[in-house]
Amino acid sequence: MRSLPLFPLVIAAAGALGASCTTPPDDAANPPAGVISGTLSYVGPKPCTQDGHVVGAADLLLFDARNPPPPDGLSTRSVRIAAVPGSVLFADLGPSLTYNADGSRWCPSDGATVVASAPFTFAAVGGGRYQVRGYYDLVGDFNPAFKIAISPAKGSITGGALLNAAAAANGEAPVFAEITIGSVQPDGSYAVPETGVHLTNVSVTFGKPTPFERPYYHVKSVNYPVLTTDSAEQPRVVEAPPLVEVAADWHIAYGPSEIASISNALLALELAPTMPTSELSLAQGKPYNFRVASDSMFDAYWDGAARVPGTKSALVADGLAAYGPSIVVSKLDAADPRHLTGQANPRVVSSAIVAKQASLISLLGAAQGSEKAASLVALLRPTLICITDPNANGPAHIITPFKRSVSDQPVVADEAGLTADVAALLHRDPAKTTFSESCLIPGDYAMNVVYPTSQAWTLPNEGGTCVGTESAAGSSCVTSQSSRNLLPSQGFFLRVGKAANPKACRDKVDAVTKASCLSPADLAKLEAGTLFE
Amino acid sequence: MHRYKLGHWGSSCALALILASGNAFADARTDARRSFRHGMDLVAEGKYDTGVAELKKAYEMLPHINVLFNIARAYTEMGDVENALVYYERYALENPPDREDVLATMRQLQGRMDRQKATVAEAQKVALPKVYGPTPGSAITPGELAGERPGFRDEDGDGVDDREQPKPPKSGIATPGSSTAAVVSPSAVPKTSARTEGVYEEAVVTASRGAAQSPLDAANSIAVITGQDIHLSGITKIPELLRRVAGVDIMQVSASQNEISMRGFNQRLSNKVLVLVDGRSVFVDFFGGVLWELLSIDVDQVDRIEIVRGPGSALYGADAFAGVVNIITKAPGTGEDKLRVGGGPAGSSYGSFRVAGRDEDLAYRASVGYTRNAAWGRTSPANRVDTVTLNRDPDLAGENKRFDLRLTHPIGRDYVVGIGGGVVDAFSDFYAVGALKEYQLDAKAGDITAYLQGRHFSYRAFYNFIRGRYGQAQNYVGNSLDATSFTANVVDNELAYTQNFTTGSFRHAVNLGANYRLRNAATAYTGGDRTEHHMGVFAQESATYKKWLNLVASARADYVPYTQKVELSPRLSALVHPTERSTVRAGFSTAFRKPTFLEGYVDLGVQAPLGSVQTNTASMALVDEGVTKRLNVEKILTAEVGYTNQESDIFDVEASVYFNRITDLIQLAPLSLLGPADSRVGFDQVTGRYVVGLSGFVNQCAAFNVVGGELGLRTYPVPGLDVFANYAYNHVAIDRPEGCEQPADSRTSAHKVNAGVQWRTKPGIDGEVTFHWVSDQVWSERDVDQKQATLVFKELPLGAYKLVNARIGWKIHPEVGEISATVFNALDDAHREHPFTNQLRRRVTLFYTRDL
Repeated sequence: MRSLPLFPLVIAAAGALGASCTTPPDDAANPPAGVISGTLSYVGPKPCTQDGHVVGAADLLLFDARNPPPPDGLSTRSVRIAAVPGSVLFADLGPSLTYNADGSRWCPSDGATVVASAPFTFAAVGGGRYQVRGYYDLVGDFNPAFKIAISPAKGSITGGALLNAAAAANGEAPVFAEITIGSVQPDGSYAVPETGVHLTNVSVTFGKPTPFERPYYHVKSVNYPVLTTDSAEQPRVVEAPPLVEVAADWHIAYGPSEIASISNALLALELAPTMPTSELSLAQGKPYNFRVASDSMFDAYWDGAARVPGTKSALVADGLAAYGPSIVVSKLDAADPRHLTGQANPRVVSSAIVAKQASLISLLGAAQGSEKAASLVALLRPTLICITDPNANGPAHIITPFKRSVSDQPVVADEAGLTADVAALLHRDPAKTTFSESCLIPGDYAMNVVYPTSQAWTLPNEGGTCVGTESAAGSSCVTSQSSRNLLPSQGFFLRVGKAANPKACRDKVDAVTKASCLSPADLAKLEAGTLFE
Repeated sequence: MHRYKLGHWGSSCALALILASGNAFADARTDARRSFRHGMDLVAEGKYDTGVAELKKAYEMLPHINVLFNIARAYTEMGDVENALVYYERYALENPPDREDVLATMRQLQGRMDRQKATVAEAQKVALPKVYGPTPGSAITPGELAGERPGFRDEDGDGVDDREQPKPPKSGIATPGSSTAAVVSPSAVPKTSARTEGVYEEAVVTASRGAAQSPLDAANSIAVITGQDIHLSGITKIPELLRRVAGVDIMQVSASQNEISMRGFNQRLSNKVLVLVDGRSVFVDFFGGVLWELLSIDVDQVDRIEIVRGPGSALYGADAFAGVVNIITKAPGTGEDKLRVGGGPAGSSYGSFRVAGRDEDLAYRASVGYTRNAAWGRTSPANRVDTVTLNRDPDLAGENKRFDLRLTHPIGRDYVVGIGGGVVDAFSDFYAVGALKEYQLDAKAGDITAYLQGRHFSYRAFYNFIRGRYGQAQNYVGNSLDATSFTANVVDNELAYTQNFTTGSFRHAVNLGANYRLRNAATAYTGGDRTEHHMGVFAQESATYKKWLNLVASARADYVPYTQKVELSPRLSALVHPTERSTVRAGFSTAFRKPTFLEGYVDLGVQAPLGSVQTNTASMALVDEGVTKRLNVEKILTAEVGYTNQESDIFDVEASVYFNRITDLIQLAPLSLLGPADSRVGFDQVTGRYVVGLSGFVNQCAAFNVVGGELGLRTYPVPGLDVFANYAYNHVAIDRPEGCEQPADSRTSAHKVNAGVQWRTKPGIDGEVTFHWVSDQVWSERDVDQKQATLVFKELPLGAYKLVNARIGWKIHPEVGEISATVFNALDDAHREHPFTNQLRRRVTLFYTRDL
């Protein structure tokens, strides 16, 4: 056939065309990222069972090493969560677990310790340095969506990717390994290669039982600070406040060197380690299941001695309570009217001075010994720390409305020391940590009580406000499927309100404060002249 | 060899000489129509020889059965009965509806000729030829034709006796000695009317439920992609053929998948255009829209594509929201047997083989084919260590192996029965909605279709099925690909009745019908097996007054099981014909789109960027939660005015202006966090993730007012040259009630321009160049912020882009075949047609085609 020579010619040409052109990469694809995988080893009691399955899961949390959770940093949110179901982790236990026929919860009573292991994976991790922390939730109420359920309960088996796994199991403070994804760039960021990164054989150990219950608390009372140096002026006391407000240009009356007067010049919040009596039974019932009682106490290490080398606190040098609970105030996202979302960038925080009693003077020079406290006092100063891009290497900036008190004393005696301490706390370059005079950033703030075990309790939380699909109906939150009573004490929040002199505040906002402390919404208000009004 | 001096001839004359096609490969409807009209005019003037020559030329360009009839009629009028009989025979061999009438005419003619010859022969004592003519009811075959004609010699196969024929005398009386003269006096032959209706005219079926009609009589704005467009473009992807149509939005998301919409609101998994193949829906009810790799036909089986712009629910029910695309295949028994193969870069390949013919009254068309579409880009290169993929071949966007068989057979005079089916084994990628992006489907699909078509009653049933598996094309190691199996079934039955009658000056065409459809899908994404029973009744009355006014009223009532409501879709149109070949059209219509299975029943835990956290995307759960109401159907109301002019032989003009009001568009709901008291909160033992929130599909609170228009021109300045251009404008304004915070919708380009040139030459070189320009868009999409490990809404601008596509081909010889080269995106304007989808580059494909 005359057509034959054409047919193979065309096919050959098409084939040559095909062979010469390979498929290029598509740059809209999932960008290169890191994967961290390895094996979780568990040493601890057998789990409970309920409804035909193992209760709980091993919850591995990945934190940025430059912004770990308290007490080592100020992070309240992990960057990734990897859960290993209990049914997977304890798959080999099979016959030694009991499953009640009616589905009710069965928990082991023999006190036996078991060893189990299972693989885990963190996916799509960006460039950076990370720590793996976590715990096995034996109680089975962990939920990363709720502040009231994100912290381990007493008895949870904690751990992480540790450098001192055995020592940590013996009670020493854990030292977390740093896992690096990508290569560090001149600006401090981390670049992931085009092929991605897959780190394998990361070893995570859970073996240390959590000694404490969650630091449940409510605000029992507030002492508003005196604003003058008139000795006759006394702090105004309010019992069970739903919120506490201070002015953006709060001028502290006394400096820290004025020992006798300073305590009245601070905002003092007395925290009680349980729920108010009127809320106790509601809090103990469903859906909250708070493990509180009328005589609950705060737990912490109060003896002031360093437990392990390398663990440090900026407050040690002050002689104040060390390794007790930290109290961190953090700015909330103004776009969330329910006060449940933290402002992500910039983060604006403040660290409170923590006292076991109302008076500061009684703390000095006394070794506490006790690991329990009937109440805590959070002493707040008019100081905020602004952190830009919390999980990277951005600057940190400290602000206070007046560098000198009403009594004309320096509010910060050693500015260099302060910036160095803050930089150390935040794992940042001291050269990038700055301090300037600027009014406090108006907005609403959450208050977090954090144990050295990283257990935390945050106000406000879901107990005090309706969430998502729920609608408020009096003192309840309702959906078409469910209803629950609110716990009003859990809706408490702090507010930095309008300034007495808004113009002065506007004039004080320097370029660094503007860049480091103001969210886009705050910037817009500043431009409109309404930020401090 | 001829030499042409351009300076002497004039460039246009030379162009005409060069362009005029000289063989039947060219699908040159417009040129054939010009020759046909000229020929008919000459015949009407009594210039039979030249008139018949023009008619034969038209037939040679583009065979049409009625041309044969008109040639026969012309021969009859000029007294050349023998040639008249030849052409009546050829006409009858095509099995037309009036075959028996024509045979009767032939017997009449033969009889009179025989009597005439007998008279002459008696005088000359010459043996009579055999009586010609078949016995009633028997088929005429070419063999019979040759056997019945002693001495008949047809050397070139055109059915005409090639022996030298004496010219018949004008008186029609045979001269002595001319034994083969077969002349009958023109006054002795029966008079028949010329057959001009529909000859080389576009005829469309989609805009009405009755018989085929001219686009000038269509109640909707309608466009046709002709066989010529298909051939000259060289395009092998059916949806890409629609890109040249004004008002049609084409979005190529991958090398295998295109999303189409009309007059705006295109999207991934576009679901607002009803796509039919020969009237059978290929809409995938589960996802919504069409998965093009699942079609058992390819472009080489397509005769034409009819595009009806505007709501079509009055005739077609749900899902004909923005318009209807009807892919009409070549009828069984028609067309050449054909082989076509092609190949391109990165292993792209195409193959199609078709046979068609008749075995007495049984007509058949069978085809097999294979297509492989190489991916535009590797979304997960092989050297990535942080991702896993679903498919074995990351260079592959789609592949299918297909088989299709269609049969028809007449039953008596009035009925035709058809049966057929197709099956395809396919792989295709496509893009899902929301933050979910590239998906892949591996499936076997097909259909079984049967129909009975009569003069008044018609019945059609079809069964569509899909069996397969789909999942995310790729994800990071440790995240789920959410792969699952999938089955879908659709069983559809439709009964229709058509009646024409006259009252006074009005001619009426009434169409009534009823439809039942069962649709079923089973997949994990919708919580298992779902079945719905849909029913609809429709009616249409078309009243024509004295050929210049046509009023069309249609209505359809559909029961929608998901909403448990009956949806009414009326349509009213008035068409005025100021001249015979122009129309002013005004109309009002509504349409609706029912929720797809995915939208209505989705129950899927979607992994959040944080890791072991998920939101339950479950539309019914949102209803149970009181967050939203049960989904309503999407609705569109349209008012349109249009103008079409086909008076001229060298250009056509079409314009339309429309207003759409669109309500209840279905979209993904914002995430709703669950409260602590909700029983669904907690650890999902199946997925191993924590459930934190709900999402699903909801009706938008805003309505949209859309104003737009289309203007198009097509011109045929010289034979063999077609030039077209069109422009579309679209403006969307949002109408938000109080409390509604729906963002504006800017995904539709305000301006679109299409233009093209097609040429056909005597040496057999033909081709096409098309140009498309689309203005910028802004897409509002949910996407993952990996850094913050959250889902965020993003406004994603997409710049304007241009596309130049071209094909050049050379029909070397019927015995040798044709070679051609097609280029997509010739200018290599690298661009995306959606912010998340593949970047399109230039691609060249070579083809070889041979008619067998």
